[in-house]
Formats: sequence, C-alpha cells, structure tokens
Amino acid sequence: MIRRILIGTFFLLMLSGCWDNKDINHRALPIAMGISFHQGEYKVYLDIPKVSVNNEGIDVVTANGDSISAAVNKISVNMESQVDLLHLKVIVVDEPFAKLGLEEITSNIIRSRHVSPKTMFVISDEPLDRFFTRINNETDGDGKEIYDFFQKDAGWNPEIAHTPVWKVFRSIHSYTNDVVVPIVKSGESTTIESMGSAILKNGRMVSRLNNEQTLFYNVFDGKSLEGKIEIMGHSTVQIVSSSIKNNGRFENNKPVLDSVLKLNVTILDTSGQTSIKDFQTKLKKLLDHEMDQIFQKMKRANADIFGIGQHFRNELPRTELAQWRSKYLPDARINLDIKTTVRNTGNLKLND
Amino acid sequence: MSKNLQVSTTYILVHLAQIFFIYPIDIMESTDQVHWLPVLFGCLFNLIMIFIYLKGLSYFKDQNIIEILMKKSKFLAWFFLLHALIYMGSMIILTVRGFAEVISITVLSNTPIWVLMLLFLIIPGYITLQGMIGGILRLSVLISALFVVPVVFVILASFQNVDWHYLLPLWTGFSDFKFVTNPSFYMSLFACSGGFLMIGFLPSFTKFKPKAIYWGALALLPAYLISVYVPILTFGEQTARQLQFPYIFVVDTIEINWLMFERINVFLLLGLVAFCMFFISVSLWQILCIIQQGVRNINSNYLIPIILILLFISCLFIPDWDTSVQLLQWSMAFRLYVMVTTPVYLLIIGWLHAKKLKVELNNL
Repeated sequence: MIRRILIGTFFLLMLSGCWDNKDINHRALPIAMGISFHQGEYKVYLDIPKVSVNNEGIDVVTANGDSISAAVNKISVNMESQVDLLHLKVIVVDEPFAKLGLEEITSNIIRSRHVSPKTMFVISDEPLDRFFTRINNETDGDGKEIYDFFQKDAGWNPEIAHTPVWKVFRSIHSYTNDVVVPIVKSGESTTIESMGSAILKNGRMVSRLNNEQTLFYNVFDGKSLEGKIEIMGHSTVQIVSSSIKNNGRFENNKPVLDSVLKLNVTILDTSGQTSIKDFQTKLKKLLDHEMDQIFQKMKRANADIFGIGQHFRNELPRTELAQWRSKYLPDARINLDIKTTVRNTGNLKLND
Repeated sequence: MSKNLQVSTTYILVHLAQIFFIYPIDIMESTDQVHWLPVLFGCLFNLIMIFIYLKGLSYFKDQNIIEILMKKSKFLAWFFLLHALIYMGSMIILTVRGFAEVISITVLSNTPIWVLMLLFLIIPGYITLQGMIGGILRLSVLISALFVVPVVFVILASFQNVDWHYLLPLWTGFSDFKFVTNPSFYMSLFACSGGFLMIGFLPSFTKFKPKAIYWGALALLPAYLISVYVPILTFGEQTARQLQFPYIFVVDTIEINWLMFERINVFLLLGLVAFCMFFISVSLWQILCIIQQGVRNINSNYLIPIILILLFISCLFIPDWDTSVQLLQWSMAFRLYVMVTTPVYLLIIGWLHAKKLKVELNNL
C-alpha cells in the first residue's frame, strides 16, 4: 500500500504540468500593439509597461517583419525577457492598413491563440510613429491610458465603438453582420482623442461615422448606457435606458425593418422655455435625421453594421441570405418609431 | 443497496468529457441549418440502443456481459469480446492523444506532448488500480460535486454574447433530413459511444435500475444542444464552422469584469480534464474486466502497467492532429458496428434464454 502511494506521489510530482515555466518577472506583457503595413512588410509597435515600484511609464519597442509573429519574435529575441501577448488589450492599426483589409491579421490572431479574442481593434487617425510617441509622453499620465480608454469599467464612453477581435472575425465570415471599430488620435489636452468610428465590411474599412453617429449606432445596438444626446440649440438629455424591438418583413420583395426604439431619458440642461412635448418631438426629429444619415452611409458602403439581415433569417433561405449584402441590403428600409419617456427633469421643474 | 445515483453520474461524466470538443464541428458539418435535428436524432439512436442493450441484460439477472457471453458459445464470446477490447483500446488511445493535443493548443503550448499523454494515462491508471469499479463509482459523485459548479458557471456565462436570431430558421422542410446521408453525422455519434459498453459491465458489481441510465442520457441532451448551439448563436454558422473547437473559443470571448480571472476557459478545461481522466479510468477498468474474466486472471498490479505501456506506445505513433481525426473517422465505423451488433446479439440470446427457461418450467 505504501509503495503504491509513493509511486502515485512520485508521478504526480513529476507530471505536474509545469514545464518550461517562465516566471512573471521574465516576461514582457504588452498592453497595446500597433501594426502598420508598408510595401509587403509589417511594422509592429509594442507598448510594454515598465514594472517597478513607482510605475515609471511605458516602453515602446518596434520591429519590422514579413508577418506579425515574425516581428513580435524579433522583438522577443532582442529583449531580455520573453514577450507574452496574453494580456494584450488593444491593437492599433493605421488607416491605410485598415482600408487595405484586416482580414489576414484577424484570422492569424484567432488562429495563434497567443492574443485573446477579446482584444479590441482600434484605428489610428495619424501615422503610428507619431501616435505612439505622443500617447506615451512622460510628462502626463502613467502610459496606460490606451488601456483604460477602452475598458468598460474605466474610460469607455457610449460615443466610442466597442468591438473585440472575435466580432471582426465574425463579420469577415458572416453573411449579415458588419462591425464598427473606434478611430482615435493622440489628443491635445488629453492623451487620446476619439475621432468617431470606422465601418468595417468583411474586415475592410469602407466608411466612417463621427462621434455622435457612433453614439446613435450604440443606442440602436442596445449599448447606450448613459449616453448624452445634445439637441442642437435646445437642450441636452441623458439616456437612462433604452430598448429596441425589431421585426423584419418583406414589402414588394423589398426588406423592411420595423423598429420601435424606447428611450428613457433625463434632462441635463435646457435653453429657453420648453415643454416636454416640444422636447420629445425635437428629440425624435433629431434621432430620425441622424439614423437616416447613418443608414444612407451604411447602404452606400453596403455594410450591414446593424445586423439587419439577422431579422430576415426566417424569410430568406440560406442561399439567398448569402447574397444579403449585395442583393437585398441596398433596397432595405427601416421604419423607425421612437418613443421617448422623460423620466425626470432633474432638480428643477420644467416650466410650460 | 442500489446505486442509481452513482451509475447516473458515472454515465454523465463519461460523456461530458467528449461533447465539448469535436462534437459541435461534426454536427455543423453534417448540416448547415436546423442543427437540433441531427442532435436529437443522435440522442434518439443512443436511447434506442441503450433500450435494446438493457432489455438484453435484463434476461440475465446480476450477470455482466462477459459472464453471459462466456456461458453461451465460447467462439461468439471471443468474437464480441475482441471487438470490445479493440473498441476500448482505440477509444482510450484517441481520447488521450486528442485531449493532449487540445490541452496543448489551448493552455500548455510549451509542454511536450508525450508528458501530457503520460499524465492522461498514469492518473487514470492509478485511479483504476486503487479503486476498481467501486471506487470509480464513488469517485464520480465526488468529481461531480467538485466540478459541477465551475463548469455550470462557465456554461451559463457562455451565453453572454448570443444573438438569438441565429436560432432561425427552425424548420425549412424535409430537405433538413439530408444530414442522414452525411458521414459527419455518423462521426458525431462518437459522442455517445463513450460509456455505451460500460452499461453491460456493471450488473455483477453493482445494483442499479435501468432508470438510472435513462436519466443520465436525458440529462446529457441539454449539454449536446448547448455545445452546438452556443457557438452558432454567438458567431453564426458560417463563422463557427471555421473554428477547430467552437465551444472552447466561445468561452474565450466571455468578458466578466468582476472576475479576477482573465480566461475563464481554465475552469471549463480543468473540469473537462477531470472528466476525461475519469472516462479513461472507466475504460481501463473495462479492459481489465475483459482480460481478467475472459482470458486469464492476472494480478491488476502487473496488468495495468502493461496495458498503460502498450497504450502509451500506440499514442506515440500518432504524429499529428489530422491523423488522430482521421483515425477517429476510421474507428467510428467500427464503433458503430460494435454499438449496434452487441446489444442486438445480447437481446437475441437473452430472448432465447428466456424461452428456454419457460419451456423448462412448463416441463417440470
């Protein structure tokens, strides 16, 4: 019996699975990666926080390579510790690269498993060289702004698109789902400045939305938490909650989506005399107008960022659904019905 | 004392180990919409076979399949037991090899594969050697108590990103039955082949009601559906079929801010590793049974290491993942054959046996 237990413990100790283990102080854990593509060669930037007692900011290391993993490997070779992309949170690409197509790097990220599929794609509105130098300015901040900026429990706002890599991957293969990814640049008074978002169709940037349009996109997509809408020259409201109901149907062989958007808002500021009724019509007009603009943009780009095709899965057979973007989307129409409830008007009454 | 609970949990655990990896892909390849149909059909097939099997066993009170077969024709007994032996052996080899590769792809990319395979053989070997079937059955309750909470938590969390629109269409017409002509559908049946023969080995060691097995099979139905539908609802069919292990990937996309763990996949994988080791030890025990009762009663202390070494060497001969999938495909035809012939043969001899008893009783 004792011999059996001894043999058992021997094997358990020997086969614990801790093989080729590298301790955490011998690993470099980048939080952001920049990728640009120039004449068949990738240039990779890695944002590696310095690990020390008083958080001394960040190291940016770069390398060129024929593929991303080759470039990362080059960095790893030249660094004293091993680069581990496990905790990467943000991948920044420049606009020319995004227009060329992110299809290949997306599938490589998904394939390799070194990068989490929850990593976010971000497009930089300026050359990556400039972007990375400016956001890691030693005088302000600790260098982790790019990380916090997109975290839902930190600096994220409803005006910023939120799209992890796996959603981009889905959009590349899906018949009916496209995505928007945030566009940023280094800011003047803040480290990062949001510049709206880009519409990616099959992994390729085809159009862009501004900050406000991104907010409306998020509202329509059900991610509106605490978004603030400014009604020009009239007032500002905060969305407390929203819900959307969609129903797809065919009318004269053209797809029509009936949407009912219910918004619960509170009033933040007003100018002049106004009534709740007045206010609701103005908000409705604004939303109608903005949504229509986004929708026109989307149809021009032929990219289904709202996943409208999803509501026609029962109506269209699979072979037809495969042609959704080219055959049906250009004729699609949205009947948007907006119902606003002003939940409260703040500390002041609204004078009628 | 009947041990219905232990038998049920054993039956469930043995299958759970296999469902979440290749099964979803097989179902997706068998049809491109209305996936619940092949899932349901697979389960139905399994239930029918279990019914025939249990019916056949019920003719012989408290005897296991080896004793029953040996009492009838020696030649036929050998014929079936040899099949069962190859069935178990191939199953263990492929499970060990496959799981080692899965662990290597998903978590331990630096660890050499032979170490992982050895780990998957030695621990189950140790379990079998220490506990034999009584211990294994009790262990099933312990393992489920330990791992059910994290695994269920991960399964619930995996619904985080589902888009229910992907569920549609639920029915498009009778062309949905085309999957029966697709070999991938028959491949998917491997998910219910794991604990199948086990039922026949139990009766002489433990008392249980057939109800225990049926409940176990029923409890597995949601697991089958979840493993196929969660990836489809999250990614859509077209994207999900690009992935090697769709369900494992879905778990990677879950975002839970308040949890301090970045990849909750680890919880699922650890649970599945435990289930897998449990499954291997059950299969190992069956091989032991066949050899000790059917061939010669060799001391388990020597027999288990010999079997493990043989299995380990066979595992080393499989060079890559493609080969293991290929081998799985080949072995599946054989497994299906064993899954169908064994219960049917048992039913026939059971029925003849009962008839003979009746005649004898009448003559008295």
